[in-house]
Amino acid sequence: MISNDNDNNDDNGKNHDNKNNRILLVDDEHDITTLFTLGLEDSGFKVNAFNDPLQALSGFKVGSYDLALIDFKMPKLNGFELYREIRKIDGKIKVCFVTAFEIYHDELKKKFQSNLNASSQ
Amino acid sequence: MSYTQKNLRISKTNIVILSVIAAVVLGISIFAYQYLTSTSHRIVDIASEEVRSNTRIEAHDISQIFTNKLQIVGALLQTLSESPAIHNNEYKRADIVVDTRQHSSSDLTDFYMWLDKSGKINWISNINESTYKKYKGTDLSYRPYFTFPRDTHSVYYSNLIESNDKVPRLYISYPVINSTASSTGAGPHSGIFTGVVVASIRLETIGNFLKNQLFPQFNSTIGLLDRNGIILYATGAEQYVGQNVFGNKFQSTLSSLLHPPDSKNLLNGLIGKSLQGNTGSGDILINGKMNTIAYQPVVANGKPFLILYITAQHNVASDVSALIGQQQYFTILVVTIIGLVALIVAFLVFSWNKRLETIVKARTRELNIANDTLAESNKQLARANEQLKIHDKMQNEFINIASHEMKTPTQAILGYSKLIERHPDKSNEMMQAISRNAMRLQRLTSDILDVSRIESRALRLNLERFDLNQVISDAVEDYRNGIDKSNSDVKLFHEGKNISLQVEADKNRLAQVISNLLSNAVKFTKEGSIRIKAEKDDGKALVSVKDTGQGIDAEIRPRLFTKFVAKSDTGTGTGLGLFISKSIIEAHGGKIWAENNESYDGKMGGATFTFIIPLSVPKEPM
Repeated sequence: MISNDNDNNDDNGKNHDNKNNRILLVDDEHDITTLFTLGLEDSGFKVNAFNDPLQALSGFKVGSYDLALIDFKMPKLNGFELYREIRKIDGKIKVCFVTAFEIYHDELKKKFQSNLNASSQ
Repeated sequence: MSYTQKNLRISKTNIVILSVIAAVVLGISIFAYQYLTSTSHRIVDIASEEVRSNTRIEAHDISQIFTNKLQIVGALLQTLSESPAIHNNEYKRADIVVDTRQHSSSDLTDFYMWLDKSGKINWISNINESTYKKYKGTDLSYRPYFTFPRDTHSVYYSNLIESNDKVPRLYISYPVINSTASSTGAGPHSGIFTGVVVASIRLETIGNFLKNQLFPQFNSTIGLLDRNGIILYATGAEQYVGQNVFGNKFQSTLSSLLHPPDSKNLLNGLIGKSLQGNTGSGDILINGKMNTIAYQPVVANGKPFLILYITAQHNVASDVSALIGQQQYFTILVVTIIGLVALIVAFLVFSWNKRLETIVKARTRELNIANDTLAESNKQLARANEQLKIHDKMQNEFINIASHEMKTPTQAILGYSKLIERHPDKSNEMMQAISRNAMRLQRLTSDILDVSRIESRALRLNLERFDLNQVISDAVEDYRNGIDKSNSDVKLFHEGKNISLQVEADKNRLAQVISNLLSNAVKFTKEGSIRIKAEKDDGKALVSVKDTGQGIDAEIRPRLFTKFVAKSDTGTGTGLGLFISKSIIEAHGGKIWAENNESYDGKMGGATFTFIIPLSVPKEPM
């Protein structure tokens, strides 16, 4: 699990009643979203989970969420592509990638960079 | 063997070179032969010329000496004829003066005679009183040596005369003229004839004299004829003395002696010329050997008296010629041997070259082959390397994806296990989820094991004879139940279910394939139908699964049967099913393929997956 911002991502913290507790969760695996949702909700977060990245994007608005948890490998739209679309709409939102892939830091940086470059064009 | 035969074959260039050598050798031989021939001719000419000139010189010299000798005799006769004792018929005094003359020229003359005016012997030199009495008064008036001086008052040189004593002789006679006793005429020859003085020369003496005159270093013979062609002397041929050279006897001897026959005519012509008083020489082949014959008249009293012949063989010339002939053969032999050696050396060099060339060619060929082999193995290595890289990459990707596929259900199981305590109200649901993910893990594990077996070529088939259609029926039955539960809009048909498809195959594996194809069809088909069809085609079992689903993505289609490509988004597949199915069908000696159906009513027509495997050979009734 790698995150580019983990200020608000505290599994063990309870009673996060401040406003920064809205989470967008996107993963094509239903069991994963269910598990994450249950776990995060137990910790006081408000979680909106999607198994379809297109669906997640269609309802996305500026300031809807404080954090987005996104899987890399998804059908129709992969994590990078979703990140790019989300960034277009909301420049402030913090994004955390979640994957079961064994990806090493250098490899990820490369992948991330190339996908970002591709998205900026 | 073929190797040496190759060596013996000589190229065109080499033939040209060998020919040139042969031609050069031939040329040198011909040149040497010609040169030696011309040299020999020149040497022979020089030698012959030497012989000719020597012969002529000898003939001339001996003739001169002989002439001088005869003139001396003539002079002695003249002084005798003018002697007062003779004039005055003083016998006692006369015998002394006659004897004196004989004494003076005894190396040539035999004796001197004094005849009186009637031709009777007055006196003969060197005889005693008794012999004198016997000869005195002998009448010799018939002899030309008496008549000629008497009639002409001049000196006389006789031809060959056989004397009364049967000895062949020549005579020189001088008239005795008493000029004081008479006054009837004037001049030197006028006067009264009172007798003749005669000198007698034996032929034998002439022969010995002439023989002694021959040049000792010069190998020649001598001959002498008188003006009538009578042989007076011939070296080594004394038996012919007294014969005429043109007489039958001598001519027949010549015929047997002279070869070729032309030589006789030449010789006769030469003798004819010489008898006319000429000087000269000629070359005549005698018994195959060249001889020069020089002739020279012996002049007496201004007239040719006798003819002298000198004959010399061209010994040096013929010896030189023979030597040079030998030299010619020797030279040609040497040149030929050198030529042969050159040819052999050239031939050896060519053979050696050829052999070297062959070896070099063979080596070059071997090197080329080695190079090619090396290049080929390099290529193969590069290919293998490339494959290894690809394989490596695929392996990494496989591990990556596999780990992802395994971690997801594992995480789900672990997560639910943790949360199940906190959420007892959802425990049922969670238990189901745990079970579902565990099954998913099991499927994945099984598929990964299959893939490992396939990739390590350890996939084994348990062959048995069965009806493939029965397996299809069972699978259809299972899935019909599944569809009925989840999606009632999809109908599943089994076509050709009465056909018997006897195969010798792995039943479980083929069931796995059919199940995989059906599950894929079910997964991607939301409405319409799924038709599984069994048929026989050219000794093969053909099974197709046709759906009305979303069809195969064009991007995926080329890699459809590879690992982790065609993963459904429903989350139930492993992404390995089609890869495993393909491997199973190919292991059975069959083929599997997929195609999209024709679209209809603006909708996608779905996809059809088909495989064929060989039918089993029907068993012959025993």
